[in-house]
Order: sequence, then structure tokens, then C-alpha cells
Amino acid sequence: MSKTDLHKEMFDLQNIGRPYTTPDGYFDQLEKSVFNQIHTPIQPISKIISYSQWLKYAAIVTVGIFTTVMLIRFATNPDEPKIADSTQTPIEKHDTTNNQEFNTNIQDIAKESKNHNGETILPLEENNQDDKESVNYQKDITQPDKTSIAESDNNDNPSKNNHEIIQRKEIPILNNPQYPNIQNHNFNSIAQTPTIEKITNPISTARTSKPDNTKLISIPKDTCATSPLTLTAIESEDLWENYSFKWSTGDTTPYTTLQISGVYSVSVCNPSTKAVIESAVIKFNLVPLPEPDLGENEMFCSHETIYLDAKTYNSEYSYLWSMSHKNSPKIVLNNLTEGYHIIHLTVGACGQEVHSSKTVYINKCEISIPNVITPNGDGYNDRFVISGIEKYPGSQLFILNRDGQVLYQTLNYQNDWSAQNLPDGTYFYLLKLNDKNKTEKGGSITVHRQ
Amino acid sequence: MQEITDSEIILMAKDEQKANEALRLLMRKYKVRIYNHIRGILISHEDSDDVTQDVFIKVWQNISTFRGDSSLFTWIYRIATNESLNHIRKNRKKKLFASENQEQYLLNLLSNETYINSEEIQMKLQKAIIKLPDQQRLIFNMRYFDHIKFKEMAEILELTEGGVKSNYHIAEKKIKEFLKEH
Repeated sequence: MSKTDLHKEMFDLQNIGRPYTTPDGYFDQLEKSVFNQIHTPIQPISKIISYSQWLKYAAIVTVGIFTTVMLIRFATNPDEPKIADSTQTPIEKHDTTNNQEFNTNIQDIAKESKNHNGETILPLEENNQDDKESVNYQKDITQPDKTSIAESDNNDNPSKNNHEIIQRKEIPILNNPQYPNIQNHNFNSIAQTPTIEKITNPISTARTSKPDNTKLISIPKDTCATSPLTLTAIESEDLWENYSFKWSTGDTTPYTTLQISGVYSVSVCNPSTKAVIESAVIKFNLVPLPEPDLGENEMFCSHETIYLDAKTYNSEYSYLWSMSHKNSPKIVLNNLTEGYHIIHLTVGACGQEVHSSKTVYINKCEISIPNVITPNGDGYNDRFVISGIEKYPGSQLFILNRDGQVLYQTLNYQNDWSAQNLPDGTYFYLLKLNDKNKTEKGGSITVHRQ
Repeated sequence: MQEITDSEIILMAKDEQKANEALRLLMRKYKVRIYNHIRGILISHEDSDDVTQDVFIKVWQNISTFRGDSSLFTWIYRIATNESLNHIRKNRKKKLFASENQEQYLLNLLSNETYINSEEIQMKLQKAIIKLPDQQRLIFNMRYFDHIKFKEMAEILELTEGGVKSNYHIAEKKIKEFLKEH
């Protein structure tokens, strides 16, 4: 056996691992490093959204459930007598659609409220009487081991038609017994794992004889992507050999890759007669992946205006800011409270999302003014240094003597007054701070050289 | 002991007192998998270490906004994938002579890497993988080494399941050809 054959066989057996190694104890160290970097206390959701807001969401959720339940009951079983208080119906009894809508509802509400910086704008105060009840619902939703309704992967599964409900505990995905462990499979068969399931289902196999109402070609009409998109004309690999394919890209394989925006077409033909069996057209829009960059973490004074820029622009992008409801790449923040704020940005493009965040620290930037200076050249207190004034450029300073004569004045004080050519003694200062409120501070300053 | 479920972690993360413990559990559950995924893309241990830390910090900062319409697992993988690809892009921009293409850049990393065992066939497979375009490289890595299901890959990469499958087939074919030739 030659060396290349050996390689090929090893590859087929799928036992070539990755060559990468890590330093000793790396994964423990990793955990520590992450913890060290999250030095600011983690803001739990409960802090971000206050209790009263939770109640509001809960109220909204309750109304959502109520409406959905009523609507669906009405739509699906118009003959069945309505239940007066449907909130008592256990969730497990709803059918799949119901439950899905219910979940989406919660998400929508959560999204809505986050858009507005934690302030819900929906006028739902009148539902406050439902609060207690709905809080319980909220708990039910977030319970980790809630039973959920398993969605059947296969539409042909008759159990779904009968509204039969399969309950299962949530299982960590990798341990999901529903899928066989693929580790030991032959390399060539792996790709077919999901397909094998379909073949063994007798109803699915019936699909090979094309039913009138089912389209053979399974590509979308209009799609958008952030990277070249590979399309497969017919999903099921088992059918590929029965047809020949012709893409407007020139490919004659069952699949093609779209590299640039445009309108493309595919025809599925009879391999012997070349007659077109079915054809489809797709409009493809290639949008670059957003690369939001909010820059380094920064410190600001509470009077400063914060300008944030996603630095990634495209008319197809959507911008979701945690601190603003503006769907725009640039926002302006004012009047943030003192302390740390984590600003999150999610830029969406064609269903793909890229996150970026930035921490800003808001400082009160208080200034402190000394009451004595000793301009004797020893390097200590030689100048009248107002610490913090650099945060307020354009602040005016006046120095007066006991008689009220102005001895020194400047429109932009630079911490440089040292009582030059003035005798020791007490002077007065007036500081007009260039802040939002144009604060004025006055006091006395003693000059003492010895 | 049973592995903690994702929803338990999310629930704990919402509790101020249990938040730190939740992060610890989240890391314990995903750190090796996510690191390996990132390492497969970035090759260099140093870069992968940086990005892995960033990913967990990002996951943590955004866990409150996690919308739950995908599973936590696919969400973390998606963040890891995007961060890694961004990292390559940024790193390459930093280079003085950006004439080097991504393939050369990655091959350089591979040959200069300290934390690696140089078993011939493993290295050869990595070289073949580096030659693939990004998307096929991702899909091949996730499938071949990490045994992630097509359906989940589709969710992570926001592609159709069919798209993932055909990409995988193409990647597999290219790699077999490469191994035959070299």
C-alpha cells in the first residue's frame, strides 16, 4: 500500500485528529483570565430591568397569551364552547403553533422594551390586576426543566397532524439521543445521516414520485446573504441522480454558489431527454457582513455628550442599540447616570447579526480648589491648580485683591497662575466653570512663600 | 453528575447572587469546545486564547439580551465564528505588507506554531483545510472534528441545511483530492 493510499484510507476512517495542543493547565487559566476581565460587577437582568418593569412585561405576556389562546381556539375549534378563564389552561395543552407564538410574544416584548432603554412605552397599566398571576407565568417560562413540545423534524410525521404532543426534557444538544453518535460512522456516510432518517420513513419515500402540489426545486425566490451563498436545487440528495441540472451560473451540478448580487435561474431536466421538468428563479442580494466597532472603552464626565458610531454602514443594515431606540448607525447619549454603562449594539444584515459593545464610565468630574499656594519654587503647590478643570475647557478665572481690583483674568484657565509679582497675602478668586449650568465658584486663596 | 442545561445557566445568570457561578458553569461546559472551534479557524494558540476570552466576555455581556430564538449553543458558536473571522481580517490588515493572502497567512501560522504535534497526516489534513474558502473550512471543521449536526451548523452559519450539506460535499471532495495528490 502506497503512502497516499494509506492517507486516503485514514481519512476515510475519520480518525485524523487536530494537531493542536495547548499549554499545561490552559483551560483552568482561561477560566481565571475571563473572570479577571469581567472585573466590573456583572449586571444581572434583574438590575437592568426593575421589578416594576417586570410586572409590566408580565402583564403584557398575560394579555398576549390570553389573546393568542382565544384567537387560536376560535380559529381552530369554532364549535367548541369557549373556556371562560383560559389563563388557567396549562401551557402543555396548547398545540404547537400556540406555544410558538407564545414564545415569540415574549421575545417581541423583551425586544420592544429593550429598544426603549428599559422603559416600556406600551400603555398597559390597566392590566395591573393580572400582575400576580402573570408573574407566575413568567416563572413557568423561565423554568429550566419545563417540558417543551418537541417539534417534529418531519412534516410527514402523522403524529403532528393528530396534534399529538410529545413531551421531552431539554437535553444538552450534543447528548441528544435522537441523533445517532456519528463519531464511529464511516466518513462517507456522515453527510447522509439526516437523510437516512427520511428514507426509513415510508411516507417520505413516497415523495420520489413527485406529488402535484409539491415543488421539486427548493430554493427561495428572494434571498440575501452576507457571504457567497451555496444553493442546492433539490434538498434531498437521493433524488440528485434522477435529474440533470442547469444553472444560469453555468454549473450543471445539483448545487451552485452565487458570488454576486443578481437574478439567477435553475432548470431541473430529465437527464436523457433534456426536457425541462421544473425551473425556478432566485433574486440574490449580497450584502457585506457588518463590522461594528464602537472603539475602546472610555471615560466621560457627566456633563459631556457621548457620540457613538457603529462605523459600519449599509442601507440593508439594521441597528439595535441597548441605550437608544434609534435604528441608525450613530447615536448621541446625554445625561447618563454616574458609573459604568455597557452599551450593546447589534447590527443585523440578512438575518445575520454582529454584536459589539463598549463600556463607558461616567464620572462626576468634580473639581477641587486649594485655599493656599506656596510659590517658592520647591515644586509643591507652586501654582494655583484646580484639579479637574481640564474637563471643562473654556472656564474663566478671576483673581482679585482685598479691594476688589482684578489682578488676573483669563478666559480659559490652564492651572498656571502662581501669584507672580504679587506679595504674600490673601486674595480672592472667582471661577466661572464652563459646564452645563455655568457654575460659579468663589473663595479666598492665601499666597505664602516661606 | 448530569451536565447543566443551557436554560438553567440562563436562569442562573439572571440571579445576581448566582451570576458568577453561572458564568463558571457556562465556561466549564463550553470552553474546550469553543476553544477548539476557534483554534481550528485561527490556528495560532495565542490568537485563539485571546479570541476565546473575548467570546466568553461578549457572551456574558450579552446574555441578558440573548433572545432565545436559537439555542445558547448555536448562539455561542455564532459569536465565536464571527469573532474569529473578524480577528483574521483585522490581523491581516495590521501586517506591514498585506500582499500575503489568507491562505499564506494561515500556512505561516501553522508552520510557526509552538503548541502543535507534528504528526504528518494531521498536518497534511490541516494544510488541505486551509486551502478551502472560509465557509467550507468552517463547515468541514465543525463536521469532521466537532461532529456538529448539519441542522445546527445551518443555524450557526445562518444558511440552509442544503447549503451546508453541499458545501460540506465540495469541501470533502477537495480534501480527498488534495490528500491523493500530496
